[in-house]
Amino acid sequence: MIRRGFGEIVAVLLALLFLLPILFALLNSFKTNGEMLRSFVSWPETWQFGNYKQVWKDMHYPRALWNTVLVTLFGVGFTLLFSAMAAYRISRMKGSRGFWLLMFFTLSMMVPFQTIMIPLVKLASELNLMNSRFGLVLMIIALFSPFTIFLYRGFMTQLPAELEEAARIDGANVYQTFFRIIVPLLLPVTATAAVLNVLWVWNDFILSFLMLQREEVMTLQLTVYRYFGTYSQQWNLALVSLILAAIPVLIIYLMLQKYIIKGVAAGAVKG
Amino acid sequence: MSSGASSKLRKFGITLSFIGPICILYICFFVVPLGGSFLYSFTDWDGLQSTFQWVGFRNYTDMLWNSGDFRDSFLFTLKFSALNIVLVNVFGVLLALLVDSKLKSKYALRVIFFSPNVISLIVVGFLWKFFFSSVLYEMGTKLGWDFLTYSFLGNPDHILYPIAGVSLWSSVGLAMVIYLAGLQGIPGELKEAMHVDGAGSWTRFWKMTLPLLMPAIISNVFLTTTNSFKVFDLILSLTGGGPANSSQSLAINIYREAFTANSYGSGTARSIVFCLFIVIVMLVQFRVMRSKEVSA
Repeated sequence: MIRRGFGEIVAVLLALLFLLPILFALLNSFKTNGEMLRSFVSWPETWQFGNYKQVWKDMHYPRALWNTVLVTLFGVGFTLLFSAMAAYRISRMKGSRGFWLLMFFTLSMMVPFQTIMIPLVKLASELNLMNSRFGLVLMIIALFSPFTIFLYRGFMTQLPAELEEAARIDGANVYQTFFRIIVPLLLPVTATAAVLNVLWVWNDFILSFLMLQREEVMTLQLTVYRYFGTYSQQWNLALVSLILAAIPVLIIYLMLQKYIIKGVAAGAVKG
Repeated sequence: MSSGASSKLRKFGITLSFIGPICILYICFFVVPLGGSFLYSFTDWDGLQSTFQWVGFRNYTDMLWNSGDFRDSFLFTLKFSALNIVLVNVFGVLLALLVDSKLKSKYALRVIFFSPNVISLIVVGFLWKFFFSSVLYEMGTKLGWDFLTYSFLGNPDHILYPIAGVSLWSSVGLAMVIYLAGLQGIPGELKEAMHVDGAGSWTRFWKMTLPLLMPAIISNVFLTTTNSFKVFDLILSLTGGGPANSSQSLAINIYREAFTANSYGSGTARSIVFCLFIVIVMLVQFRVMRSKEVSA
């Protein structure tokens, strides 16, 4: 019993130690800059909620958040839709055609982003897609779908064929079969794919960094990168920007932690 | 005859409607740029002018024999990856054992250890930059612990270790979760049988747990390998590739070569070599996985 209690205490201390950087960032974000430079480890004399108000305004927080939500929602939404459609057709192909199509898409899972980055920037500026959230969404769909197709296809090959045949005999065409019969069955794998893609797209830096250079269209990660650079002399405000950038995803994580941990683990093993 | 042809056409139309959208986007934003990279790697294009010359393999030979910065970043990336793979997997197993135990706090611990995985690496890098240079330093002076007052991010010779430490912090939770799934997949009867045989917990871990964790070890090592080779965001915010370019990963080196030095030709050549390197590593991994599956 005593040993168990000792174990609990050690575990809690370990967890606290693990969270130390976050706790100190939080603590210091409520200080004035002068107070912070006197001591980084002291308790705030008065809690400066004004820091948050100022950074909220300075980094145009609502706008950056909205841009991120927009890009993530459309990027991931269409990635899931197009990937499920493609994976369905690929998994139902006869002979080796399906295999080669899958190879064609999964090729990109081996290629690091840096390898296509330079011509992609050139292409984007020629197509007038620079500084366009729409353009970014198109690229997200193109670059994030292969993994999602891979995930969906693996799942679909295990679905029983009888369901589809029954639907066809009932007179459903191929689109009705897909949207009414197949799509509802995909829920578990869609949850995995959605969790992974949302995390990746929400936290994406390099692709959006190259594509979105005007402040009005910047996502949270880009804004925080810019803000942290500009305010490196005012650590307290820079810390606020970090916390504001991390908070939406942390809230969602705490609410859905069970599904998120499960989804990420399932996807990671398959990829 | 004509009905056969028209049904074939109809079938093709259906296939196109399912695969067409993603095909167009994929070709446009992946296949074309990939081909572009390959072609540009044989030119002296600077990204600004519209004209360029074909230079054959000069970008490749320059990279391999003349540019020290590419070699340095290659070595740095290799060292970082080796260290990162070992650290993440060792601590991943340890944390998995901890949160698979009988502790009451194990569910909370899982949530806490996994939490850095959902935060962007840009934020993680800045967070630790602050922590290293302010909090740790002050704690070190106040407590008299000199090792904390060390300028973690200021010494080019040892920059590898703080970066690997932060990388461990940010990604150990994922490894933990995968190992945890592996641990939970070990049947209870096996554990009991070992107890009856009288094996101590240390022997049990080496003789039973670790071999049964092999699939989890393989997927975790694969995952950390590819992720470490591609490291970019974390280093960009934590050190910016410095001090004195000592922490330029390959991904950062390619980015700088292209967009800071404006050498698109040389940048694409480097990116092709980077890609080939990653492909080779992945193929080796697949081979290893195959052979393990056969022997298991």
